[in-house]
Amino acid sequence: MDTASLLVFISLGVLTLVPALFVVNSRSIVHAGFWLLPCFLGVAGLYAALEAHFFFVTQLLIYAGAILVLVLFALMLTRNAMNPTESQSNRLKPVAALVCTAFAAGSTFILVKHPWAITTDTPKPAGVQTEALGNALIQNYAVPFEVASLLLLAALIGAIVLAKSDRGPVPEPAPLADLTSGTAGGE
Amino acid sequence: MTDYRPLAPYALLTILALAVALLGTVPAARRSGALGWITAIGAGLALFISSQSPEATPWLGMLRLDAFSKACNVIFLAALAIISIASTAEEHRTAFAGEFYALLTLSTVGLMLMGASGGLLTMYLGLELSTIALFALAGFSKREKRSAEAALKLLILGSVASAVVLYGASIVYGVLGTTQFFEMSAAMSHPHAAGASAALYFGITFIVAGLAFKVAAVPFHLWAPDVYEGAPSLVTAFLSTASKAGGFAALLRFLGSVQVPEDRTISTLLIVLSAISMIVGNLSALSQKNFKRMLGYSGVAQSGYILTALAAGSATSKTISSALMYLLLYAFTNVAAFLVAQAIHDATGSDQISALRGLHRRRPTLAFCAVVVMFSLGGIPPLAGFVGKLYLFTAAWDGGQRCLVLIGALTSVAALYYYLMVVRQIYLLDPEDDRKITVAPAIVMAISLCTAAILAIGIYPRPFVTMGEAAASAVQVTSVAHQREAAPVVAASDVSSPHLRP
Amino acid sequence: MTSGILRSRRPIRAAEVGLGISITVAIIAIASAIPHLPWQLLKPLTSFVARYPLLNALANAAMVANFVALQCLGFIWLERKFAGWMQARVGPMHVGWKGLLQTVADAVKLLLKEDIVPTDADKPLFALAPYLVFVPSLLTFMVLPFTSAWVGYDLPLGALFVLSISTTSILGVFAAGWGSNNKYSLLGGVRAIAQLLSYDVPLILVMLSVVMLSGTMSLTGIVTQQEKLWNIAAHPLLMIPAFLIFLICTLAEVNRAPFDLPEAESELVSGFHTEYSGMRFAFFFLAEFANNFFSAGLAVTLFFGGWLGAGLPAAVWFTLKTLCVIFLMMWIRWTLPRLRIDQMMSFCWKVLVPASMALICAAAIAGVSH
Repeated sequence: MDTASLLVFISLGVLTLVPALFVVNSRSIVHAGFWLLPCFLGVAGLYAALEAHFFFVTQLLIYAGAILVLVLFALMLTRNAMNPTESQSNRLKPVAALVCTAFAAGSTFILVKHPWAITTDTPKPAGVQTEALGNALIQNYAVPFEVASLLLLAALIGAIVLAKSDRGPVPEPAPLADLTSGTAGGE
Repeated sequence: MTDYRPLAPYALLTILALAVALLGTVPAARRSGALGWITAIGAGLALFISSQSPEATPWLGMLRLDAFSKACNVIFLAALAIISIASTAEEHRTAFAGEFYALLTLSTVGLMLMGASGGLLTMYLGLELSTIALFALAGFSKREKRSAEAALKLLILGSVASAVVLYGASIVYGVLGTTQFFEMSAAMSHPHAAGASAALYFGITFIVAGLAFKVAAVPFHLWAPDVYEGAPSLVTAFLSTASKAGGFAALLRFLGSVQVPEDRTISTLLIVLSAISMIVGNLSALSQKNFKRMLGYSGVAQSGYILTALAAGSATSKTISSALMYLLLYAFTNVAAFLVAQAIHDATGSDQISALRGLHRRRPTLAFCAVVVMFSLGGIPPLAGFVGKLYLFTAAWDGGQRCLVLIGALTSVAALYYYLMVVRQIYLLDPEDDRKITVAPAIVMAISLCTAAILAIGIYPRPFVTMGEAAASAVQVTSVAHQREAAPVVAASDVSSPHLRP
Repeated sequence: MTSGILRSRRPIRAAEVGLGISITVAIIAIASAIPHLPWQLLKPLTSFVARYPLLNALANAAMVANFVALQCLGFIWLERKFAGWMQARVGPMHVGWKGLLQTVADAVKLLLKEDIVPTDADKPLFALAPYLVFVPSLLTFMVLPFTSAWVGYDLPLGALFVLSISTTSILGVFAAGWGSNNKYSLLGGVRAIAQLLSYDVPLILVMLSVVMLSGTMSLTGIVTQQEKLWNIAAHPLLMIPAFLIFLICTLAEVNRAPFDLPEAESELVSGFHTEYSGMRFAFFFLAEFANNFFSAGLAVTLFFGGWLGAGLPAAVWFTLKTLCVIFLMMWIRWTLPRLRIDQMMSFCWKVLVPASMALICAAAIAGVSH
């Protein structure tokens, strides 16, 4: 790896990891949510540096765009979840930190020592990559791809079951419309 | 051209899940338990189709629909069918009956995919599908705080476990350059391969640890008693049998087809898991007062017994077949045990072991079934539990794990104590309240089915042993055959990572 | 925005129609002159810049940023004039000829205004919000092809990139709504997120159907493949409904009436940017108009052949077409009343999403039969 790409990699790593620290340490859960943004952008940057164009854009679209917004939206609809005085750790923090550090050191040692097979081939152009990915998804990887949709279906049904109240008939406007249409209707 | 016929049971169950979810919108008064029967019939039909369909390895072995996956399907679908029948008793009271059966069915599809997985990707997605559906199922009785606690614990710990599997899988992929089990074996035996490096063991350990969570082996068992206790008994019945069998099916597939050359690390790992599971599970169960919690710890110990066979390695086909057979009979036994818990809870409102006191006077048939179940769990001849444990320990003994077998035998004796304590409550003590208790006919029927199966397997185990042996040879034969022809298939896997290739 | 408007109730005069025509002609004339300007005088400068990639990138970014800011000046003036004509008044008249400099004056006013941060605001988020909204809308211009050569970065996955960037601006809206610590802001923020997320779904699906027919995700590629016939004419049965859905979704995405619920003045004061003043407010304003221009440009790229056209220079064609779409959007804005939030949400999920799903299926069939 030449110096320039090493520099890029290190800065992207910092961009990913430092906000990640803030995510787990931030006392306000909204701030924690917002710290995820640079974290996701850093990962997207890593994809871009690897010239994995499709993953770069998808990371932006799915994580920075959709997932983060959904996380924050869910927070907004949850009572008291945005209370900024919650501590993010308990008395086991030093023990956990010790275990995690030991584990991180151990795994880094093992993973760095391994002779990884790294190709020096130039990555294929974006169009070719995307086409290959699309073909893989509808050919050899069709089963995992379809199962992923079943998985989302199960998650959807499960979320509805857990979120919906089972006491009496369900109120007509969903909670979302309830909150947002509070002042509407003054046509 | 891919042959799609072997996929029919999977497609059928998916359609069943959607249909049941939609039928759930029909008012409860007008469908009177029909959803559970539809699910049970669908499961039975899927079982039939699965047993009749040809074997295949579509999409370059992404799925392996062979004797092993068929044997696993028997376990999962039998559990699904019996639990669906028992659930019909509750159906008119459940708020989201359609969703309940849909989630149960989707979870079964996930488990079936784990049994049929030919690679890490399918295995992981099957694992996720089955677990995610179970998160919601564990929290299904929403008016009980313990149920919500169970759902939350399962969600948090389950997500960590699946992240652990994923992390391990990514390392294994990085080392070997493939996610397909049989290509992995080929990559390891390749002369230029980095071979069995520390990183590879590191990855495999993570995968095994994540799956050990699914089967509730010590030290990944801490969720089990709490979740078993808090979740509705019908869900626990599924969670403790089919879901556990799914974890074992994935372990057997993974360890059976990925043979690390001259490997001691993985078997050492399994020996440790097995030994401490048996010891910790049985000892903790001794002091339990809550029936479901006791069954939870007993389930941890049972995982330990099955792990003895896995630790003996996949060298002999007996280990795989004995594990499968034990899982099958354990499914019937434990489902029946939790259905008894459900029946007692419905009648007395308590989950304590003392609630069973004098059951033989209050409901003799239920008492008989409960005792058969307890004896089978304790491994008393001529019941299924005895045959299964004998077969399991013989396989482990032949595989060289004599120490483990000794631990297993000793802890089994200790386990007899708490199983017999339940029997004592049922038969030897007089009830405080002499009135007969009523049990829903659907639950009685489901428990009777299980009891019949326990007796049948105990008396005539031959067909099940044959099925297990066919499954075992399916895992192994294909692994040898595939090692020779694996080389040209690599092209499929280099799309997702343009920079890493073996 | 209401300052400097003379109220009067009278029909549109012929002079005003003439004014509009003359402005259009002037724009065309100026734009056609652009390629004939003595650009070669700049050659030493451009070649110097081109030698350093970082400098080059900076220059490109500066050009895009300036374009966004400058087009806003004209756009806001046009919008006010248009609103005036629609409502039978004259619009801004005082600053400059026919009020042409009104926007400049307003910008200066905003710059000089005090920057107020509410006491109980979540200060970091309050400060961050305008940039989180503005930067994504700026970034989208990076891939918008004005001509085959005038494009900041011809990304091979441009269509996808546009979508992914524009969704991130929701975060800024959320930060503004939450950070202001004001119930109207929060309500506006909730509405904005619900609306943007929901209308993203049909928007993505419709764009996907265009991509499926074009066989490329590059925006320049989509335009060049329309060389024979614009998309809207090549597959009218598919593309006219697709364009309508696209138009509705973009109206919702840029918070314009009839979908301006996040800032509905009559109920929420000003929605998520109620508490903002001065330059921070200007950023929201700028982003909104930039998004508007971009959406119109994207519609032109996807459906109306982008820069393609005979006679005039390519960039002029693109600008003209974009202006037409912008006028269409303004027309809708000043004609239709605001929807109610539940009507808006159910319209999206019960009408637009199924319709765009059907479009995708149709596009797949059409793509196969090609």
